[in-house]
Amino acid sequence: MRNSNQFNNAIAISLAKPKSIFWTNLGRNWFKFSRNALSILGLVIVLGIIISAILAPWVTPYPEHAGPFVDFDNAGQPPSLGHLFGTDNFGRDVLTRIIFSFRGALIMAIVVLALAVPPGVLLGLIAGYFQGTWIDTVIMRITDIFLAVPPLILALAIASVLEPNLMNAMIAVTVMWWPWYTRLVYGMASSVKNEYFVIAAELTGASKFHIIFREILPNCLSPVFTKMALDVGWVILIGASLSFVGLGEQPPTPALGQMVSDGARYMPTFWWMTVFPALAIVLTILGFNLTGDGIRDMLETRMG
Amino acid sequence: MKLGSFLLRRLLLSILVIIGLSIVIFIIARVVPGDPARMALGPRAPEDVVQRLRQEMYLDKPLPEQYFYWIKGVFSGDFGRSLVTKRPVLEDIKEYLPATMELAIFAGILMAVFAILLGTLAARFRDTWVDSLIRILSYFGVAIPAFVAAIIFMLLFGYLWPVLPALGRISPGISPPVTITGMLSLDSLIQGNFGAFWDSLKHLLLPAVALSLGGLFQEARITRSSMVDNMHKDFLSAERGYGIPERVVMFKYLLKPSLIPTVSVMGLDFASLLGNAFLVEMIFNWPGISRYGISAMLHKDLNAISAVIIVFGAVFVVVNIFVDVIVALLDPRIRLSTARGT
Repeated sequence: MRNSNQFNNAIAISLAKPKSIFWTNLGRNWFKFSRNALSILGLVIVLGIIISAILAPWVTPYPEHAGPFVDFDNAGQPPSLGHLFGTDNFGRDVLTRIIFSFRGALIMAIVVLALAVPPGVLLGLIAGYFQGTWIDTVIMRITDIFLAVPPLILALAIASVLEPNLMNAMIAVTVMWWPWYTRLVYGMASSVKNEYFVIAAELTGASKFHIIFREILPNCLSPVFTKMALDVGWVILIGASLSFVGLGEQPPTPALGQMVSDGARYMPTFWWMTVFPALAIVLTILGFNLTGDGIRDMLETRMG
Repeated sequence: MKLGSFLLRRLLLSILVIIGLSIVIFIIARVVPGDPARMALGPRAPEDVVQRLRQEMYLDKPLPEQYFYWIKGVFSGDFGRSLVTKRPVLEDIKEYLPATMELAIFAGILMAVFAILLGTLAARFRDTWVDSLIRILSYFGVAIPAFVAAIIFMLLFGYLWPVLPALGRISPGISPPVTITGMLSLDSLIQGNFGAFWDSLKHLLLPAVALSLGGLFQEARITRSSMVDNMHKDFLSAERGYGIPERVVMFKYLLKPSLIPTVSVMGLDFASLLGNAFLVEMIFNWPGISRYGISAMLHKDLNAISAVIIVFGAVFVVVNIFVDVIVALLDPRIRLSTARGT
C-alpha cells in the first residue's frame, strides 16, 4: 500500500500536469520553426507541391495529357519552351504528368498514415499499459514478425498478390507501417504509466479506459506527430518504389515511379522522360524531410 | 557466460519470429484470388490433372493442415516448385542468393566505412565548411531513393561518361571463376584470378553505391551528432588530462562509444538496403535473388514469393544478431542488462 503522503504528492503533481496539446502556443511554435531557413525551404516545396497537385487541371499547360492521350507527332520532344520537361513516348507533356502524379503520391501518404497510425498507436498503448502481461507479449511479438522482413519486400509481396492499383499499394504499405508506431508508443506508454499523475488517477478510481486514453495517450502524442511528419516523405518514397515495378497507379494515370521506369527504356537518348520525374521524386522527399525535421526540432525543444 | 546466453536468447526469439513470419506469408499467399493449382498449370490443363495437383499440394485439406505440410517442407528445404523457372525453388535460391549477398555485403561495407568516415570528419571539423558540406550532401543523400540513384548513375557513368560497366556481374570476354561461394569477386580472389576480380569489382561499384547512399548519409549524421554529444564527457577530459594526444582521444576513446547509435541504425539500414536491392538489381540486370523475387511477384509465383521472403527474413535476423553482438562489444552495459527488446 502506498502511504497517504505519497498519495497527496501524486495528486498535487497530477493537478500540475502541464498541458501537452499541440497548438496551444502557435505563435511560439511558428517562431521556432521559422528560425531555420531549411525548414522554411521545405515548407515552401511542400506547399508548392500540394497547391499544384490540387490545382493541377488549371496550372498545368496540357491537362488532357494526364490521361489516355496520344499524339505521336510530338513524341519524344526534348525540353523546349512549349514543353519545359519535354514529351514522353506518346507525345504527352512530362511536366503536366509530373504535377498530376503528385496527387496520387499525396493521397497515398495521407491514406497510409490515416490507416496505419491509429491502430499502431492503439496497440502500442495497450501493450505498454499492460506491460509484462500476456497482452504485452502477444502484441509485441506480432509486431516483431512484421518488423522481421525488410519493409519494402513485405510491401512488394502484399501488393503483388493483390491486383495492381493505387488502392492495393496503399493497403500493402499500411500493413507494413503500423508496427513502427506500436513500437514507438509502447516505449512511451510503458514509461508514462509509472508517472505520478497516472498513479494518482488509478488511486482516485479512474477506469482503465480513462487512464489509457485521457492520461497516457495525450503524453505520447508529440513523438507520434513528429514521426508522422517525418514519415510522409518515406511513404511517398515507398509508393514510388512500388509504382516503379508496376505495383501502383496503372497507366494511363501517371505516377512518379512508373514514369521513371517507363522512361528508363528510352535512355539515354530521351533522358528527360526519366530524369525529370526522378528529380520530382527527390524534390518531394527532400521537401517533406526538411519540413519534418523542422517540426521535430520545434516539438523537441518544447519538451526539453 | 553473459554474451553466450544473450545470444542464445536472441536466437530462440528469432526462430519464433521466423515461424510467425511464415504464418503471415502463408496467409498472404492463400488470400490470393484464384486456385493455385489452376494457376500453376494454366487455363488449358484438363480438370483431372488440376484435381490431382490440388491433392498433391494438399489444397483439399483445411488451412492449418495445409500450413503444416508446407512448413514441414520448408524446414527440410523443400519450398515447392517455381511456376516461372519450373525448377525447385531451393535450386533457384542457391543459384541467385550469392549474387545478392555479394552486392548487399559490398554495399553494406561501403555504407559503414564511409558513414563513419564522413561522420568523424564532420564532428572533427564541426561548424566549418566541411561540416556544412557533409550536412548538405546528407539532405540529398537521404532524399534520393536507391532506384533513382541507380538510374542516374547508369545515365552518368554507363552512357554519358562510360567509365564503369552498367549491366550484369562480369564482362562477356572474361571467363568467370569456378564457383566456390558463388560470389564472383570472392571466388576469383581465392583462385588468384585478378583479372576477373577487378572486373567483377567494377561491376559491383555502381549498384553498390546506389544502394548504400541512403543509409550512408543517415548514419554519417548520427555518428556526427553522437560524437559531438560525447565530446565533452568527463571520461574524455580525464584522458586529455593524462596527456594522451588529441588524435588518440578522438579515435580511440571518443569514436568507440559514439558508434553505438550508428551501429544500431545500421541493422535497420541494411534491411532497407536489402529491400532496395529488389529495384536496383532490376535496373542493373544483376542476376540476384531480388530480381528473381520481382519476377516471381509479377507472375504471382507464390512458392517462390514465400521462399524469397523467408530467406530475406532469415538474412535479416542474422544481420540483427550480428548488430546486437557488435553493440554489446562496444557497450558493456548492454551485455549486462537482460532485456533489450529485439
